[in-house]
Amino acid sequence: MGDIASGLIFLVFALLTVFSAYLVVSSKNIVHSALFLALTFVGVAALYVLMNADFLAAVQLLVYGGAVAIMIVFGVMLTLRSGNAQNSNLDSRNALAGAIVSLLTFATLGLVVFTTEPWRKTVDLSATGTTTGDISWLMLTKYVVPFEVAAVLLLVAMVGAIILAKGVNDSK
Amino acid sequence: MFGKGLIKGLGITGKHLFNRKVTEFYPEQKPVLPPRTRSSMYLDVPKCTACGICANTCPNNVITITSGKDENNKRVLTGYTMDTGRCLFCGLCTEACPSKALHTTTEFENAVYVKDELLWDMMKKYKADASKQEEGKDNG
Amino acid sequence: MPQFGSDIFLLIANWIRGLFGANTYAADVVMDIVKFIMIYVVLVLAVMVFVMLERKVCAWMQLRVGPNRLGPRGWGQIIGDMIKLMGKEDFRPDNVDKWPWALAPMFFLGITIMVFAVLPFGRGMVPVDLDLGIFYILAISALSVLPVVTAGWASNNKYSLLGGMRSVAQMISYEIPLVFSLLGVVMITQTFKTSAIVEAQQHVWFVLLQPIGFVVYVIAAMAEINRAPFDLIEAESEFGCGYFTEYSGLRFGLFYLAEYANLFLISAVAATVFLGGWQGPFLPGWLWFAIKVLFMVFLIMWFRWTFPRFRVDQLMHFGWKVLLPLSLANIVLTGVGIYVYQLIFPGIGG
Repeated sequence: MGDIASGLIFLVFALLTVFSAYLVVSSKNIVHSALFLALTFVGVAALYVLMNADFLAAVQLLVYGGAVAIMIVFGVMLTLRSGNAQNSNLDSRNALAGAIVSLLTFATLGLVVFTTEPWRKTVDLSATGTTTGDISWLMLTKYVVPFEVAAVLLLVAMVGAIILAKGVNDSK
Repeated sequence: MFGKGLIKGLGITGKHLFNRKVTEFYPEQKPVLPPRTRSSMYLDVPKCTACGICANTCPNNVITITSGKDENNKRVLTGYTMDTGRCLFCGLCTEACPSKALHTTTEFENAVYVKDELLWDMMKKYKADASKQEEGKDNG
Repeated sequence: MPQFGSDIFLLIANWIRGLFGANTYAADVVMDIVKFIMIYVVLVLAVMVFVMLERKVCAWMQLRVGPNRLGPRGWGQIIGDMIKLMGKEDFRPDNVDKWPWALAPMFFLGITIMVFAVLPFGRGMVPVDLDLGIFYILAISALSVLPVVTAGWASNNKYSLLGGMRSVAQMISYEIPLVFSLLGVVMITQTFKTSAIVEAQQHVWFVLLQPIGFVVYVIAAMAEINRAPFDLIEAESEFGCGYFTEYSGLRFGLFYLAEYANLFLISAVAATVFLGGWQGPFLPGWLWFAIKVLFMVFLIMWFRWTFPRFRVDQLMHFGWKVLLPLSLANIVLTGVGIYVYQLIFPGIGG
């Protein structure tokens, strides 16, 4: 009975995610597209929860749902041009090229899915019993170098942002 | 020190939390207005000589006086109306009154439902007031 | 051994579970539904109390008596307000973006209610005791910017849009010190679990170990839920009512409810993380929790009715130049403190 319920919940969120992802590209109002994108992020987070990756789901909500979606919505609202978004989108005129790119992307993703065994992985709680503990353990032992490199990259980005925001005239 | 002002402000509001409140429960509790409040007019009819100075002083032509002669050929008041719709309650009429018959009172509930009620018949008002005082005396 | 006073809710829960006998799956489902309904009931009741408390506290601080007509000493006013709000016309302006406009208040309230699932209301009274507790709270409440900005944009009103844009700037800026201020406590307890954080405060509350964290948390959380003196996004004197200018009736009521639910939320998190949650002598746990939450709510109301509103640039300066360095310094201090503690008492923690 629990399996049926979780299967149903998976189906609901999978459909929600795919449907809102479809609406992102088909919606006529570009702000609606951005809002549906946020909904897609939330749906993906729910799917992560169903795969026992709760930490990843929370990060997905915090980073994508909380920050990235806001940035996109905000950017779209500030740069809004009147009229139909599909007309102003240059890519929608080349249907053939779009179809080829989409097909190639789909084929690549399908290939990855079908060549990875087993393709539905759930998190194996080994070291500490919680996903958070596992992730932090891995990050500070096995993957400490990539972790630190990412931290340095973020620091550089932050310094760059501050310099950009400060402007040239003020620094002299 | 940074933040001193914030603490001080919190202290003041914190003290106010327990201080006595200044709210008046109006319809149940009438406010005690200062004695020189000019919010209503009162005419002491026996003192009035119907000289008409008040009517002349009024900047807005609020006061209308009619007078007649009595048996001693003396001028007496027959009618005194104030159109309070125009009245500013500036008090000039009371200052001008030579016999100190007209004065301002602190009565303030002057709102009426009909425009005509804004015409105050000061003699009627005096009579009503006098009879009320009579009753008060009888009861007391 | 359950004491009657402190574990009354646990006894009720066990009784409901007992009704289903061996069928634990059905019992779980029913218990989840009961928990959801209870969260909603507690939330609505608490919001009613808070709204009334806000009006009374505000009045007292201004030497007034506040609402004094309905009910004993005016405390029945909230019932009248609610009926008034429900009786109002749900008016939709012509040129609003229909669906986002209609859905924004619902999402705003829904997101807030979701967070209540992990709060420990008493001993063993966590609706869903997630391993991610605190992190879940932060992740979900990060979403609440989106409905605000959507409401502002969909209202098709320049003041609403300004309010929405300010909300983005403000809520994203203050989210960072908010997260960092809670991190100190997580470093000490080494867990995100709210129940474990409360357990860890049996002997000493974390407000004593993390005073800087507590101060930063209270300030950042007040900014995060847009309460005065950080109510820039609904600054009446500057642009009407901010993002909910165009809302009326029950939709406005949802925003109103969500606003006070957020107040409840940040007070409850502060009580859980810094003030020892349900830990306390004599009284039952859930009563201690309620007292601590009420204390936090009163504190925040006190701030609101004392301090004037920030200016936008002051807000940004304060957030990025004062709170963020403070919270970072707090993390470094906490790390050093934990290291020194482990040197002195080897074998504890780690």
